[in-house]
Amino acid sequence: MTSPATPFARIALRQGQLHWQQHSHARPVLSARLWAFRPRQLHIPAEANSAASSTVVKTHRALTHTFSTRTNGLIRDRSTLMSSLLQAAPAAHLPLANTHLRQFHQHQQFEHDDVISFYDDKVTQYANQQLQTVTLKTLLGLGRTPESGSSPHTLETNLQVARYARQELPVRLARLIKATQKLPFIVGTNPYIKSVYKLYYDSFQTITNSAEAQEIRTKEDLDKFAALLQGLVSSHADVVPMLSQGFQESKKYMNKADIKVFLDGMIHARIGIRLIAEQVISLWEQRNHHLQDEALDSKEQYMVGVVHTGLKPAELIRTCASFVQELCDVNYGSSPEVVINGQIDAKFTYVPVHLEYILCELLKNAVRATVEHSKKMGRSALTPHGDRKASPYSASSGSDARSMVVIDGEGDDSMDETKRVNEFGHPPVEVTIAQGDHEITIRIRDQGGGISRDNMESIFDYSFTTVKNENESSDSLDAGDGDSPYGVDSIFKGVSRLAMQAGLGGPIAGLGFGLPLTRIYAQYFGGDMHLISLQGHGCDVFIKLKQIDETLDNLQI
Amino acid sequence: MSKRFYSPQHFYQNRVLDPYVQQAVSPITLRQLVFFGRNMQEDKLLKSANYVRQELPVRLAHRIRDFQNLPFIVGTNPHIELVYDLYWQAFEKLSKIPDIKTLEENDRFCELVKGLLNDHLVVIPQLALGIMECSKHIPPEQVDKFMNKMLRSRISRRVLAEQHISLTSNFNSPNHMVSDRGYIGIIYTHCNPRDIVERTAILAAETCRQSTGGKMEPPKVIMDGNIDAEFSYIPDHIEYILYELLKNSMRFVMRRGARSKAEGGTGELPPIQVTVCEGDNEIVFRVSDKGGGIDPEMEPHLWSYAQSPARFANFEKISKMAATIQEQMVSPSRSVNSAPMASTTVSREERGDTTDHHAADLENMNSQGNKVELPPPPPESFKNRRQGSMFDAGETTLLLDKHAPPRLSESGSSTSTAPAPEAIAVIDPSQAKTPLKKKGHLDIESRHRAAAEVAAATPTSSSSELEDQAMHLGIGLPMSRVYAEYWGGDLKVFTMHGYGTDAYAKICKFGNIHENFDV
Repeated sequence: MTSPATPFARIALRQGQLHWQQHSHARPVLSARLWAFRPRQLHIPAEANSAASSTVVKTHRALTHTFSTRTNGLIRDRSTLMSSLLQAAPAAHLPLANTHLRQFHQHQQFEHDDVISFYDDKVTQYANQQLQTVTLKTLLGLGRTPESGSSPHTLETNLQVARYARQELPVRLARLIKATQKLPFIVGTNPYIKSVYKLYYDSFQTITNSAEAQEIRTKEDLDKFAALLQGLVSSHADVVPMLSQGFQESKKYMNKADIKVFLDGMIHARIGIRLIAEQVISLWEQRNHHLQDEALDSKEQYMVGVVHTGLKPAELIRTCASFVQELCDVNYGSSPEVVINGQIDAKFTYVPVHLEYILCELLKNAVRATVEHSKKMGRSALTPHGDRKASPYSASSGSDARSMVVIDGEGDDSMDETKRVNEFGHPPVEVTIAQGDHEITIRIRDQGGGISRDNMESIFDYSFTTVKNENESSDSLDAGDGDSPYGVDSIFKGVSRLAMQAGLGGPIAGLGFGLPLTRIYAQYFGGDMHLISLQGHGCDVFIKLKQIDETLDNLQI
Repeated sequence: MSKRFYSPQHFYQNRVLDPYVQQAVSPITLRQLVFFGRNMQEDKLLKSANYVRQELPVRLAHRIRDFQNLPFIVGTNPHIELVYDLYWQAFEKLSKIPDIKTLEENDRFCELVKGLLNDHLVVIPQLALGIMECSKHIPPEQVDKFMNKMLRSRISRRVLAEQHISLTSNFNSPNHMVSDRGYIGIIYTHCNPRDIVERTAILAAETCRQSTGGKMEPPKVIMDGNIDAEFSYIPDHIEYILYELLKNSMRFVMRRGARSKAEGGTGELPPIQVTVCEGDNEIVFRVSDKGGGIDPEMEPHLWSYAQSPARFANFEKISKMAATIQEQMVSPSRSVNSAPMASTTVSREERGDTTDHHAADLENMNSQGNKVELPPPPPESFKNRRQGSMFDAGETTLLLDKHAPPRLSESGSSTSTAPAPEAIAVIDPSQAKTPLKKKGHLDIESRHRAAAEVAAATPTSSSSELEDQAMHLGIGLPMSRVYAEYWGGDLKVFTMHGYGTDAYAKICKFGNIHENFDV
């Protein structure tokens, strides 16, 4: 979804102008991208800087809001009103427009809904139900993979999964709603938190109403249900940025640890809900596709809903790497190589969108840190070992091939592609794939200088930034090259701000959620993620992902 | 040693412990040790003596109390009881010493402490065996906590004692004012990653080569990063860690290489990559191998003393362990056995007085010199070698003074039956030709280790048993982490199943972190 907009974003960035009117159809993505690059790349006239950058942020928010409202099928008048408001308002006046919108929201809708939800004990009923222990096999229709002969795309499989989803989703939604209801009252009154609450409450209502209406028995029932889920999924696309903004605004009313517990739980549950919903939708879509066309392309053969049964991490890494490199080129003018080694022909069963999100997020950090560290250390093509002290011994003692210990960098190290710097002086990012019996480990090594000890403690915290803070810090970010590349602020404010299409996760606008979210994804199917900082050198990140196979039968997702 | 009979009095005598347990220990930093140890004067030495005199019983008392808090059944285990008893004896001896006012009193104090250090060489094997036998009576977490506390506290006491003994022997040597050479007691102020990795890699390679009976060459070690960083540290501590990591890596790579060869592969061993990274406050050694990774079954128990009870079974074969790198140099030697006494003599003569100011003390301490031979330096590096190096152009082999500790009476008698060359490790001839770029200070440092210890345990074991024990005591990794954490660093291991393992040993560069002896 983002790729078609790339040229637009680039044009806008390169010319240093905002082309709102010319490319109106690409706006949500465009604005997200501009937002992502704002601190360094937007060349807005100085006096307009603060207003314009906040405009970018708010425009993005308003636009995505408009979109989600539209797809939600809510009051069409309001969505028209909003978009016309946006279109009419010159960029500089957008904040004002946005304020109007927000007030409009608050007055017209929420007060009424609050009362309804207060007296509604259906949520409580559902929330108290046990989650079903679902094996991945039943959910994903595995065991009926193409290899084993029968197709996962029979109507019966689809109906089963759909029935399961309709039973399970309200319970999970109800729990999310319950959790939100337990937030401090003042936090709940925040418009963003409230919108999220409202979204979940609406979804819960919609899905329970449909569940009470009738069983899913026929193909038509399934079509209807799938359409309903599609609507829900798209309306929830913006939840994470909204949560981020909401907690940013209410962070003084809750302590950091409580916010983290809430958000971890919220995001974890959300991944589960989306996974179930997307599974129903994609199985349904795949079946429709099968009915129309018997010939499957190679990728589709392996897809069971959202699960890929022959996922090659190396291919996905390559895709993510080139995407990230492209962004890095746009932002910095150069990017490091990404070297993939290890068991590059490894294959496993996993949810590609999850892995894609993880890889993009981590590669982004690695690539950015490398480039920034190069700048800081003065690494360039001319001094390939700019960060390395010249060895006082290298002249007198050449390494002997038979020697037990070889000093690297003295001999000919061009043999090793993980050491070779590219024409911009950037050492490569090394990605190593290892296949174990039931798991895949991916190690991402960069030479981006590492994370300082002080920042290490907070890298998995949710870090919130406000528009105001961004403006305050943007000067220093733009002015000083000395900011630490992995500094919590700079990393979360910069590249991770990309509105990357994260598949099941929806577009992720960064917002300081990058690393914590990545870890939640990595841990989702019983995997894990570890980050080791070698200060002065770089970071090593290990992602360990379990195969989604029969050994995971007992895993509750 | 005499066995205490736990009469009813023992319970009531326990009171004497109380005032000591109530005292908090006074943690020190490496930097404090360095500053204090510079320009040693008589009054400073006595101050140091009295600090050690007062601090040791307090630290011992805390650990004795830990023993007393174990479940009763555990305390009745003979191995645990033996250690408990040793600690009580040491506590009683130390707590009775009056204020040290003269150098003569200090000398006597040092002798006493040396004796205790040697008595306590049995502690690690005994504890490991005791814990192994008691694993059904204590939950694993408690075992790990107990062991970590014990080991840390043990390091802390040994550091204090050895530092003081070393300062004393430096002070007593005639030319102590001119012979600093970077050493402050047992602390070396010019530790250098290049030297450390080179030395430990050669030793680890030797251990691994021996374990295959010389049939297989260990993989190479490639070093990169800030290998010329400099920091102050206790060389024993960092070398123990790196030796363990490199040995493990080599073992895994060799095992995998052998397997692939058996399956028709080339059997070529991928090198082990050691990357040294210098941060603002820290130096990290990353040891990265392609040895196929740690077995998934073993991985959760890497750091545990209790999870795999069979793990310490090999401790039955040894009686003493100092947990220093020196003893690693000795054990593989048994199977090689070729260094002649003549070279020992030569090397001692060659040393000369100026370069070895307290050789005499060590001679007194040592009932016999244990030596490890390392490859000779390349000719061009002779000029660069550190003053005091024993490396001699005339010798084809490099001898490392292995000043063995005075032994316990019973083991002393047994080792005396073994010929001295037994304790000499020789790197095999092919390796001996390998030039080393720069010679380390291993000899110096080992001589400076006033109370150096050598396992030198089982004179009767066959060489194959020794190989086993050298390779698989099972305590290397947790012990390494205890060493790393002791001065505020840490040790992390991440394994990639089917590919290899990365270990990250982080140490604090400035030595300004307090000793870390409580978990």
